[in-house]
Amino acid sequence: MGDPPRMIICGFGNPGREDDGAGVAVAQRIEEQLPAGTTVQYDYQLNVEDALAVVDKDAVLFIDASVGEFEGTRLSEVTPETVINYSTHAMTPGGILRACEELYGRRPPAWLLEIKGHSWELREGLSARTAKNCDAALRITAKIVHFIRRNGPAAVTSTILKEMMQYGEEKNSHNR
Amino acid sequence: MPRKITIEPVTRVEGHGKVTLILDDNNNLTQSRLHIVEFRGFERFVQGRPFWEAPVLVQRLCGICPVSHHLAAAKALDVIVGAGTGNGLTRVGEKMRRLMHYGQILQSHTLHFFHLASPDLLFGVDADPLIRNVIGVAMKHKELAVRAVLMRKYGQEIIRITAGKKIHGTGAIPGGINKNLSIAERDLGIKGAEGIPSIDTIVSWASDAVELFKDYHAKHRDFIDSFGAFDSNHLSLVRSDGALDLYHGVLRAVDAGGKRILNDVDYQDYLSHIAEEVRPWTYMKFPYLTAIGKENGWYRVGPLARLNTCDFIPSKLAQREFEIFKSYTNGKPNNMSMHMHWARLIENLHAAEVIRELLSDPDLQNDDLVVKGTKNFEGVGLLEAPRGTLFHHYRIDKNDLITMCNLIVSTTNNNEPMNRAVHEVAAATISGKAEVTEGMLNGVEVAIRAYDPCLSCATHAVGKMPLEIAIEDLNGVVLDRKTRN
Repeated sequence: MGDPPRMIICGFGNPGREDDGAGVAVAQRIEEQLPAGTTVQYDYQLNVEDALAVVDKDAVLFIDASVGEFEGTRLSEVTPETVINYSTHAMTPGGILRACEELYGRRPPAWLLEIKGHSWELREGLSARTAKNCDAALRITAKIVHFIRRNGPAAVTSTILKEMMQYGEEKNSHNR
Repeated sequence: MPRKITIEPVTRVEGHGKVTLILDDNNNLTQSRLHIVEFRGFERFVQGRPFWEAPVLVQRLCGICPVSHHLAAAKALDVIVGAGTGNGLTRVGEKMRRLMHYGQILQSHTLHFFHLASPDLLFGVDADPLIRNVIGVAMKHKELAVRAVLMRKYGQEIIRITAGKKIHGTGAIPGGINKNLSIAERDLGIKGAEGIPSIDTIVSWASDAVELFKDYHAKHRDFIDSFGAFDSNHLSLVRSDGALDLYHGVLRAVDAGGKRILNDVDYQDYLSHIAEEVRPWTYMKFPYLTAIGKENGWYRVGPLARLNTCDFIPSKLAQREFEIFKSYTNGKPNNMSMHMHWARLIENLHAAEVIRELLSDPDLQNDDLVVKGTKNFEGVGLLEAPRGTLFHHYRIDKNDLITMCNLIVSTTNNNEPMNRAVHEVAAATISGKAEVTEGMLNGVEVAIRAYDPCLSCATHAVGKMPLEIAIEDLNGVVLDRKTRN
């Protein structure tokens, strides 16, 4: 049996701006539970040097807060962006993958776990609703790490992603 | 019919900004305004908090340059804990902070030039926006882009080993620092590691970057010398002997011709020399030198201003480039906005040289981290952040709670110059033209980006940063709208 896939979890956001720190919160909480070969990093924002951090990994999970029109969490595959749009100093996960392709000629498979945020004021701590969403995100993260270690990143399909999200959200509803 | 053109928000500028251009019936520019939604609620937010929390709290202001706010706050609080006004720290205390600060300068200047400025320089202002970004640079100039990634990574490693962690670092505390540099951390900085270049390599690459600009300048002299150029005053800290110093010094200002208008004053007394004007159409204030007044007392800060105010650069390679830079204007202040990029790259080289020198300094392994003295109830901390002079001013009460906070950030200092730059470029490229092209609009953005404004908006969650360009008539009716996602 070969070595397990090398995976990296990249949580990003500003914990000083309430729910914007949701991705960092989940990355920090999962850090101590992770098996060998899986690494975690967190920062205020993604930027082009993160291409260097992820390019040689077998799988990448980005975790970020979101203002998207959904409830709870959303898990999706990341594809390289064709149009790069970032403000001065931040890049999107798709931009990072595109940078991997252009700079290093390869890119790892990657997924984005979005956590619905509700409040963005200048305070530490998550809103109650987003803290709940982070609980689900934590379970989903643990589940996807376990799945990829056992089955490899190529086995992650859209059906698997849906099952993982359902798993996280169902647990949340049981705990309410 | 008169038209109002709005560019909102400005691309590749942190947070949100909006440019409004009003043209008359003949398409001549009648007015231009750069609106920046500055977040000033922070000054109220810290009131009532214990003062020792400030160096960590202020990092919430900005996810881009948290180190600058962290250190400026710590410098102000040094005064409050009786640790002097910049020269009272232990050797390890001051040098660790300097190392952190120059690491921040290196990573920020690298980011700005390679990711913001070089796409405009390499592809031209009129180029397709789809390639005019860092990926475009990567596709056409792969080695350059790969170097930029590694240089930025190196700067961030320097911050990590001095601040302790990437988010909400705690390296600087009132009166000193909370850690020194271990031998392992020192060796990482000097020799590098897998994926992290050595400091000698960084110095070499920083030197190459200056050459890259000079080469471009030689081929595009008209554009670089004339684009957004205008006379101004210049303000920055300088070391007491006139040297470039980005961490500490005295305040100096010169006018467009080089005449000294603020003569190396103690920044604890900045309110005697600088005031802030409020204008009704924007939240962001307009600082000015009180000795000259509101009308003509505005000034530029940042790399260009710093090379205009200082007498020399105290590192060998950067000093050599400084002499070339100064000779281009016969020793007079340089008022060409696009030369900001040149100045920034010379500073970047200086930052790399300073890091190299500090890493070999045995003082960084000393254990006397903090000093304390007689408590004061007010303190001012200034430093030269990547984008320019940053002011932090606090007052506390007898319970050690903050009662007043005043911040003047670099972008606020550059408010009037950025407005002037927008006007100059718009007048030259848009005024009198019947059709406004993408290239013209980008030209306005290029002028703003030379100042690298930071709009204090670290919140970045997915969906928060679309780009929208709207063309409106005078009644606010949108005539055209372009969105980049």
